[in-house]
Amino acid sequence: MSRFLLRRALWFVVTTWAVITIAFFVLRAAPGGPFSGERKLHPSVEAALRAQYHLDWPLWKQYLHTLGPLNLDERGLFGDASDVFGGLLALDFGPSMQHRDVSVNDALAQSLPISITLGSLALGIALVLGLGAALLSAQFPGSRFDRLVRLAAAAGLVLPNFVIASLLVLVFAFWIPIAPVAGWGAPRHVLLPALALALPFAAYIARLARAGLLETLSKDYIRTARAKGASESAILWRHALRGALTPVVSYLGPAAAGVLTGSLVIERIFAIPGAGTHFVASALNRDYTMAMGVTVVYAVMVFGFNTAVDVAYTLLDPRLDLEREA
Amino acid sequence: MSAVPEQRRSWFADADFELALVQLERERPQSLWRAARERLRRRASVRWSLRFLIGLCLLSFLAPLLPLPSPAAINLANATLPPQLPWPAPGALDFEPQYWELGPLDAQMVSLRTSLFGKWRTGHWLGTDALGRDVLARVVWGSRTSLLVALCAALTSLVIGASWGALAGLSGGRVDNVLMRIVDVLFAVPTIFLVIFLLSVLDAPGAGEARLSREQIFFLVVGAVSWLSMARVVRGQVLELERSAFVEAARAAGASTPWILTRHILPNVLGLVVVNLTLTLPSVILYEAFLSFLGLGVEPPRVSWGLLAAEGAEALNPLESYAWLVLAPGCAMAATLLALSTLGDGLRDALSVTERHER
Amino acid sequence: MPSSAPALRLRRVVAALVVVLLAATTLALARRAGRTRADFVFTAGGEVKSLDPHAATGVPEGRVIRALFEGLVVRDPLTLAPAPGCAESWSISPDVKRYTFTLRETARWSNGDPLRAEDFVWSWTRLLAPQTGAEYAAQLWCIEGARDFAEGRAGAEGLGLRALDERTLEVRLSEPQPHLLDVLCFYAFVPLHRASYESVQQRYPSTWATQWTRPEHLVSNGPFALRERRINERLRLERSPHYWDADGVALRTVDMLSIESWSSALNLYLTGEVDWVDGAIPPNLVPRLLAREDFRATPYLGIYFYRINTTRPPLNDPRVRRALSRAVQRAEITAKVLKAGQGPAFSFTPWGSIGDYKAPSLSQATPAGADFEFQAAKYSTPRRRAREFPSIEIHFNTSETHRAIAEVVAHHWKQTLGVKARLRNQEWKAFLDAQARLEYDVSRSSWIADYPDPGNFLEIWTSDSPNNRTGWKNARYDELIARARAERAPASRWPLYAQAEQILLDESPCIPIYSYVSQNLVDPGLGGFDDNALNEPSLAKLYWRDSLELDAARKQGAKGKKRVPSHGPPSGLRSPRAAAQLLDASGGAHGANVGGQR
Repeated sequence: MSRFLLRRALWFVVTTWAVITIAFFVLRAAPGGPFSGERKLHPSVEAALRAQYHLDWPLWKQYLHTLGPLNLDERGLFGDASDVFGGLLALDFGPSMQHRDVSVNDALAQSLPISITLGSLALGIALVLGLGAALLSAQFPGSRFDRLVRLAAAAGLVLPNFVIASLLVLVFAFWIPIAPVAGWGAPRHVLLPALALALPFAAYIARLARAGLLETLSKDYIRTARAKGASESAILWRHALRGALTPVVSYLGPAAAGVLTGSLVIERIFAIPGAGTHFVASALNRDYTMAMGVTVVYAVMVFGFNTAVDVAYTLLDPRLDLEREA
Repeated sequence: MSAVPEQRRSWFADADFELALVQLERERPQSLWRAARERLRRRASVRWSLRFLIGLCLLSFLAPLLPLPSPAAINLANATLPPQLPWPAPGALDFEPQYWELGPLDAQMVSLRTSLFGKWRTGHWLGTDALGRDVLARVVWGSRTSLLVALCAALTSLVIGASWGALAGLSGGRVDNVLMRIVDVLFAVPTIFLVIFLLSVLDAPGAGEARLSREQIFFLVVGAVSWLSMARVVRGQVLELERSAFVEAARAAGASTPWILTRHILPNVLGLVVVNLTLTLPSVILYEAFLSFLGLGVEPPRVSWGLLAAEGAEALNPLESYAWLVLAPGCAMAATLLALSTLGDGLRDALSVTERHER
Repeated sequence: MPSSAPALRLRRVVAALVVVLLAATTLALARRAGRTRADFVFTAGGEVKSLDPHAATGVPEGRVIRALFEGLVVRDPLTLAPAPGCAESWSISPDVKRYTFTLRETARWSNGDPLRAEDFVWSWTRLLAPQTGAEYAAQLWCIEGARDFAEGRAGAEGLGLRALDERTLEVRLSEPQPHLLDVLCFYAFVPLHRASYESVQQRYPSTWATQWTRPEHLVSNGPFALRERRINERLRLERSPHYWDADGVALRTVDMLSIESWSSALNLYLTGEVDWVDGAIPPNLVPRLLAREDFRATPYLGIYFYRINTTRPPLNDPRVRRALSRAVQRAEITAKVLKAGQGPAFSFTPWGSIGDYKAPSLSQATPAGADFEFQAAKYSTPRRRAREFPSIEIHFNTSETHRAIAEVVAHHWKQTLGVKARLRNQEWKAFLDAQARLEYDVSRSSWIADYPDPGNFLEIWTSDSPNNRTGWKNARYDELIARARAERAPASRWPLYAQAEQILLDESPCIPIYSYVSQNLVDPGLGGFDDNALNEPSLAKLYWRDSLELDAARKQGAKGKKRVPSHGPPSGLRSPRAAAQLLDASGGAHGANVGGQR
């Protein structure tokens, strides 16, 4: 296990570097810059700003500068510390270029906990709803009830989430006023956005788990258990569920990374100050420093969850050997 | 789908009759595909989904032929009309062909339409939008973009994703490692960065007349991000098959690699690919909607379901709800995606393959 | 058969995970649940770009910076004329090259320090310094030596800024600048607190730039002080007890929420969680809102227009440009697309006039007029048009309303001139980039005034203006603008501006389409909210009316509007001074409402 994690860590470094490099060059290649606006800056002002953020340097130098805590000023590699960036290796992403008096670290430190709070709640709801629906419908496959549950589950996956969210607001905040329309700060604010965020995932989990359940239920060892006289519910809960969890877990890995880093649509409709907004806004505003920050966060999340999934596999299916898989 | 033997009966045959046939066929040994088809045919929901999807594709392909109002014709005097009562409302004789730059085939169809129906157009059966454009016409024309996006994603998934995954799974070792790490990396780059890069770089006005239309770029973008999961799924399945008892047995019996590929691996992978496709398509259609929400969608006056849904959702508010603006594209989308997922579920049940190795 | 040990382990891991997540959620939310609602809550679009007055640009930034800081002069919210801010008086030399300001004796910073003339010298030096990168610095280049300093050719010693004593500031200009006071009302020219700024610099040598505007560090001199800042969520302001007119401020706490989506802001307003919303209201909703008493649409000094790329044939022919401009039926756009009372624009100056200035108007803005012009440009027959006139691309940044307008304009061109138009939308930054490089045919734009003066609009069309972006150059135009700039008396500037604007309309490098209205949804119980052409109500003057005053105001107000309930405190909330006056007037019978709770 530890050798597996070590190799993973190595791969993580390489992958993150590659992701950062791609994100860096892709965003710089897109036209426009962080300081273009409806009112064009006076050339001297723009030049001053670009110099302040080292955008006047050649690209390779900017790239190195972004990567590490290197001081590449004319003062030399080991110049003084009055630099605007720390660099990614120092985990200091520098000031945001769009919000010039906010550091990327601060913005992420404020928004990530919110996204994680909301996201984990949504994942919880999705798991409960999704697995519940799957268990119920797998007990009577093909029945009218099964069909109904599947239809309900599918409903979360057939509409864009902004439509679902707008409908939820209209119904549960105005027609049946039981939840606030938007905002963040009190527990009651979480309900609607978490639900809106959870529904598509619940639908997906329900489908995956149902298929997994049905497949496991047809396996030999279930038949053996049945023959031994185990009760149907014991079979479903003890034996089949574990089999059904494998596809769910493999889906949840990447999905969790996405959910926990925030969803722009949900955040915008419910006015939630989460991190999802930063992903899109940094790209749209060419906020290069913020973009680097969210890229690193996302890469870490994706990689962390994928590793967690692989570890979870061994728990679910002891036949798998991580040493070999790595 | 070349592995499917010639079909004798249509998909639309009588269910009871089929059931009997299936019982009969049960008696003989069947190939995976044949068995799957029989199981599929027995399910009404799958049949209906397939009929619906085929109908929808026809409808959207033939959109220029239908006596609908032009989807781009602005008439501010008729802005935000609710669906007309009595329904269906009588049409009017004021059709004027107003479209964006259509392809030659579509242009032909439009002229055929004018000679068939003249100036007659249907009434505003589903109401009109803020600029007085007919919602029904926009939903029908919008289906073209959404279906094309889906089709394009399907093609890239198939061509790039499946072969990438198969290559990785079959070669194993270092090649596998490199290929899959590339997929890992692309997975970890926030998609929106790639989208904005592709949209803005390919849309650069400097490219002059040669520049791709927004729609074409759009297809590229969607294709570029949709093949990754397919590559993973296929690789996982290929790996599992390679290790499976029957392939090992075949190898032990001295079967050649091409034989094993075509006889054992390909048919098994194909099922999974088809199932995965029916899962990719809905997510791609929803992704298009997300991009439209961000304002990065298709170029007006063209329409797509995502654009219509985004416009409609914006019009949802407690003061004045133009419910039909969101209901029309919403229902169209919901029905299509539901049909796709029903089909996918049916296929999966029929082929009884799971996504065990999707990661 | 799977063994049970891993299953148990799994169950434990999952259970632990769930417990941790739930605990984290509850904690995270409970920690923040203690905040009470502010006396006044408003939204102003997304997160502010910066709280540093020298780095900030834009309307929401202005709202909060004007609440936190106060410049020498402030705009009267009713007339928009410069009125004393933290300067109680000033004098202007006869040659309009020297301004002398006297600061209020009672002007204080939010930490109690007295405000001194030296603070302005230091702040403006920072504003002008090249490394600050302040967008609005160029507006102070009229100060002696400022331009050289700003462009790095000279030091700060040569600047025409001097503190004659603690309370007297002298500003010497290199050229006569008659509307300097108007300029100084702008929020970029407020003072900064040097001592706190420099101590932050010392404490955080590398990250001070993102530290000094934090609530715990920022010292300001306006009616409010910064209490809390949560990015993308809210700014909490608190009445500053040291403000010289603190007695006249009613609101004790103010929240500015950053909300990107207009419909979310509307929902919050309708449920009483927000008291003032302004923004781009979806035109669909406008008719419904216009019937309500709490919706105010007031003429606003902003113009929506299309730029024409004058370097591309056939758009290099002024007749073609004029034809395109005349063919746009503006009234249809304002009445049927926008609906909130926006003005059809036939001049580049919004609403055809600013103060006493009357702008010339585009002649013959009718289909016939457009067609005449087009024929003159040798595109006489429909066939010639179809063959020779290329299709024109309308370029705009992604937005529902821009798209609707572009589609209608394309429709008009097709109808009137037979010109085919395509639409191209781009996301904001790519759009700006393409516009700056002149990679467009016709491109959407807008311009909002910083201060009410026609020069503010007309100066963007001079040859060397970075905001011209059409390739259009006219020497006569440049000369007229330069002459107008130097004139002191408005009466002698207006004719020069009018001549220049006539040239602009004749040459038509732009197609003015409509003049803006500000669209505010304001709780009916809110008093002191003055509508003005810059949409700059003063937060320091806002108060909550009690039910008596609200009834009286409703009787006076426009008839036939639908009443909506006020979410304000029923007993009102007034400034200490107003409450005391009320108490005096009513002889103590009328309850004083200083402490009215929400």
